[in-house]
Amino acid sequence: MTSIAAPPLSRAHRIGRWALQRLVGGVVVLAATATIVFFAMRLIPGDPAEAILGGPGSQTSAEALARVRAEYGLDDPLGVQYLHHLARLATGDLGTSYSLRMPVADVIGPLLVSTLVLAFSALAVAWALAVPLTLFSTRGSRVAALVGNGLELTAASLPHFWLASILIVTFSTGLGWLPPISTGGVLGLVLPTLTLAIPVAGFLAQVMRDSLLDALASPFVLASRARGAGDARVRFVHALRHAALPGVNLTAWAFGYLVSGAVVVETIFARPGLGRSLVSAVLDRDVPLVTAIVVVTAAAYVLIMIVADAAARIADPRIEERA
Amino acid sequence: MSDIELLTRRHSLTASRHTGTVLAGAIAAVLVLCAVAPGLMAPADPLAVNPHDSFAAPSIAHLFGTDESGRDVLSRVIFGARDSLTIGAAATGIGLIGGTVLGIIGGLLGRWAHAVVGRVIEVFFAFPGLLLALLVIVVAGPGPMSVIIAVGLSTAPGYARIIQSRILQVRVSPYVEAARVLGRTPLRILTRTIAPNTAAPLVVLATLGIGQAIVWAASLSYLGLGAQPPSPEWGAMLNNGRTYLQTAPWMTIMPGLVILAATMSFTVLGRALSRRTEGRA
Repeated sequence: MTSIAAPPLSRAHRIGRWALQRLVGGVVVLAATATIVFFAMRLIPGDPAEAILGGPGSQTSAEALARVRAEYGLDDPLGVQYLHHLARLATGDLGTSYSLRMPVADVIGPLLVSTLVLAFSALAVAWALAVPLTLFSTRGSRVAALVGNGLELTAASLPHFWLASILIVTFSTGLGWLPPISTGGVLGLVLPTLTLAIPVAGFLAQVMRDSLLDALASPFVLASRARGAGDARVRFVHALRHAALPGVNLTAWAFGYLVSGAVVVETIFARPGLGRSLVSAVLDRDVPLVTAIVVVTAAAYVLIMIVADAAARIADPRIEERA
Repeated sequence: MSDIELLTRRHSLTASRHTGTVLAGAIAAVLVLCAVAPGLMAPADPLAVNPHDSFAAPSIAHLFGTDESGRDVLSRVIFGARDSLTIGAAATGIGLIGGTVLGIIGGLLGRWAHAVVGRVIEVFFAFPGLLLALLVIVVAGPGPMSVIIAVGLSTAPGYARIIQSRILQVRVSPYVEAARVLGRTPLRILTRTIAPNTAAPLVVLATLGIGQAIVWAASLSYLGLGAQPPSPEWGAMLNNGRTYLQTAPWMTIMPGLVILAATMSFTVLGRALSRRTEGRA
């Protein structure tokens, strides 16, 4: 930026102002997602009133349909309905689920907790797998590099639904150690977590390996070696810290990937959560529930992106100058 | 460890990378051959039912085993290559076209267009990827065509972001500046200078994207939203195998291994291409 007259702001102040701008932008993004959901759900063939009364084929009388249309304002022009939809969301009213006949806020709370538990345990396990893998593949031996690269590539290419099946066949059917369904309890969390974590670990390790190799070849590592720092110190203290920054950025991206993955994983392991409910809610044309799930996941994504960007700005002041 | 050691280590990695690229190319070539001429490659008819031979474990007669109707799984996987690769390639094509259009608008038409496209991309990134695909399929009805459009649309914002930043990079590059100083018209600069330099990364993106698109499409079919049985599309085969996971795991393991091999080989090829184009630039 080329500000001429403005006095220089303190760094904390600038980051604060930047975060505020990002938050306002985030609200715009949320409104846009709610808009897309509203109109996309209208494009689904069929009568919305019928969907509210239990889906097509449910023998509903004309009077019942008319009553529902009046109650839900379905006879109003589409624009009016859309504005109502946004206004309700803006006041925090998520409405009542068509299919479950419960307030959406009550439905979504436990689902959100369940999916977040899965997503965060998957992220933690992914990091726990990726860091040793990165250190192993950059050990310096050719064999380690080959094996490490092969493992990263395989892990990152594994389709969730197939990995889940393999884990079930091995650890449930074969060894009988873990339950094939995930209805609560720590044991039930293990296989879904691994299914989501292993591919993310592959992506993380790839990104960190590249930046670790760059860091190891950089002048500052040479300088600390020249000062007499041991190999372990150089690796763990100096280089790994550099390598971790792209990993942190990737973690924010991975969250979006995990939500998509949760759709498949929660379905396979019969685990309650946002992903599985999203599929059934879309198929049931449950507009309030779909809207809530989308807005909640989008909000989580926006927040995580802001936190990750802020962390990157604090860690690396050059980003601010470039922007 | 000295810098020299580091350099030689990278050099020896290059050699093994080359072997990997050749292997990946061979796998991709076999898969494309299966897609083009499955009749030549498959040992049996993928739809031939044989009730006496159902749930046979992998053997010399049936390398990948048989399914619940006694159909040869290997032959089904080979015939499924056509559906899966076509869906993957077509979806990547749609994603790239959408991404290029958005990227050109955002990269060439000034600050406002850039801001608007940036916001659009941000909105689509905040959308859970699979949800967009799900909405498309529910609106258009399940089937391979819907999966192509769904996966294409879901991947377009990612391509748009890369293409836009590439165009912005190329626009301020010294060679575009040089063309401008030489008095070239904007149209000529666009078609002769900006387009070729933006298009090279597209080839890389397309190769990397096909593998991902195949997995996405298979995921949707696995959820019962894409190709429907008795189609031997890979995701649909896995969806079918899910019922018999305990008794006939090969119905799941074998098609999955092929999906894995396909994704990995396209990724390795894409990276090799990426290294080559970067080396040239």
